[in-house]
Amino acid sequence: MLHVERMRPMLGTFVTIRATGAVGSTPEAVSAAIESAFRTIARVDQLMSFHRYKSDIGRLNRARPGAIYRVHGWTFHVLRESLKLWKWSGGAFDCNVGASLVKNGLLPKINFVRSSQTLPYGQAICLRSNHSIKIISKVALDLGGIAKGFAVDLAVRTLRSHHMEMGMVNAGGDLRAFGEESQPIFLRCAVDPSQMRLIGALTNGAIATSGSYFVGPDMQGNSNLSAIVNVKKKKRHTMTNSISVIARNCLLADGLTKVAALRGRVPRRLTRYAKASVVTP
Amino acid sequence: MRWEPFFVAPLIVISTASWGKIYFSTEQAQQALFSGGKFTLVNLALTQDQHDTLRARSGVYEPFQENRVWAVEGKGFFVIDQVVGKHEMITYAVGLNSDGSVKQVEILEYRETYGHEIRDAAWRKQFVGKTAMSPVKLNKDIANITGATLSCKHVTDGVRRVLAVYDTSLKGLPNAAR
Repeated sequence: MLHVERMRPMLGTFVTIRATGAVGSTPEAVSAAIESAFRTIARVDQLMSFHRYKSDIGRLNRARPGAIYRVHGWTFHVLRESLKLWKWSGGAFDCNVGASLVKNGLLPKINFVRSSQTLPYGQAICLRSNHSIKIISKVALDLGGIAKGFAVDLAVRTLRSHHMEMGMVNAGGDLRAFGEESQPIFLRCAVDPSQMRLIGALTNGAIATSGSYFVGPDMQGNSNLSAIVNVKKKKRHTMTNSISVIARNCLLADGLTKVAALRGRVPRRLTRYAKASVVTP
Repeated sequence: MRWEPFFVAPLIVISTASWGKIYFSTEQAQQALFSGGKFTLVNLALTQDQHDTLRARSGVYEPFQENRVWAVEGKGFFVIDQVVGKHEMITYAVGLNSDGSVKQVEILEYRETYGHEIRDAAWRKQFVGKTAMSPVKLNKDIANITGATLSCKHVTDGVRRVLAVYDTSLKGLPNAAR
């Protein structure tokens, strides 16, 4: 069986894709599958990047209240799943936090207009049929907390459609494995990121982790601040440990790490919907 | 989906400090980016001024190594470069089309070094004895690392430097226009 692994800088982090072809597959076929998966991820980046002027998210962030925009089906799917997470987490998961992240220097000050008032995500936009979005108040959407997971899911789907038997896609810690074999999962220690622990074995599932150790200290030197914004308190969430969530797909795992970090647990409805559990040791 | 948690955790602490992974050799990367291309090494001799320009335009402080630039006949250029981040050292290849646009970026080698901290012996000492080797084969499995998102900004800066190299030195070469 043939086994190929590649890494590229994408989505603002390092994306690793590993695939094992079925018996008798050629190296070219496996490489082509991986190439195709990387292209899928690049497409997600083009559609949902906060940094890109022409992305769906860039367009929505510049839109005036009352405007209706049609977006790509993938963007619509991510926005709809975000809405479910927002609703069922009681507003803890909110992707209308671009303004706070810009203020904290975590996102560049481009591509959006600051407004005096920010509504919570679920009230700021309205999803309509036909993949169109109505902007109710000025938004600064940032899908950084969920779109990486979605990109991983799509990449896995691409690998599968190329008849890969087994594989793994890892976008900076949000990873999904498929195939019969179980994969050992290592977790970076939050206190010292150069150390890792084996926390378990995953078969056909997704795991995502959020932590603060690569974010860097703020102006006051507080190094435990994460990139997660607590919308109720209007400030960045402080975390000393990292938190890992497994779920049936990587989009949900990625989104739920934020809910788990902010709420301390995953609400029951979301646990059922995502088949999720918090696995931080 | 199946999850089997591992509870004997204290035993399985692995240091990533000396861990590295090679994804491509130079030749493999050349074939992956420009398959069937004819590669000729370009003799670049950058002056100190040009080095300063590169640094100013990219913000990368390590000197650019001039002996890893190839011209691909009729297709563009192939450049290998290296950046050292705060957390890792990365060798990567950039394929440039003949009009100077980026065709592809591939990571050749990824090595985790905790840069400044690794060199500091006192810092290292506190972990002596803590590390134990895991029973699983490292090279195959270690890609499954979950953790906070590590930024790839310095690779982006590195790619910007390669584009600056193209702009200052490679653009005028006879191979580029064809």
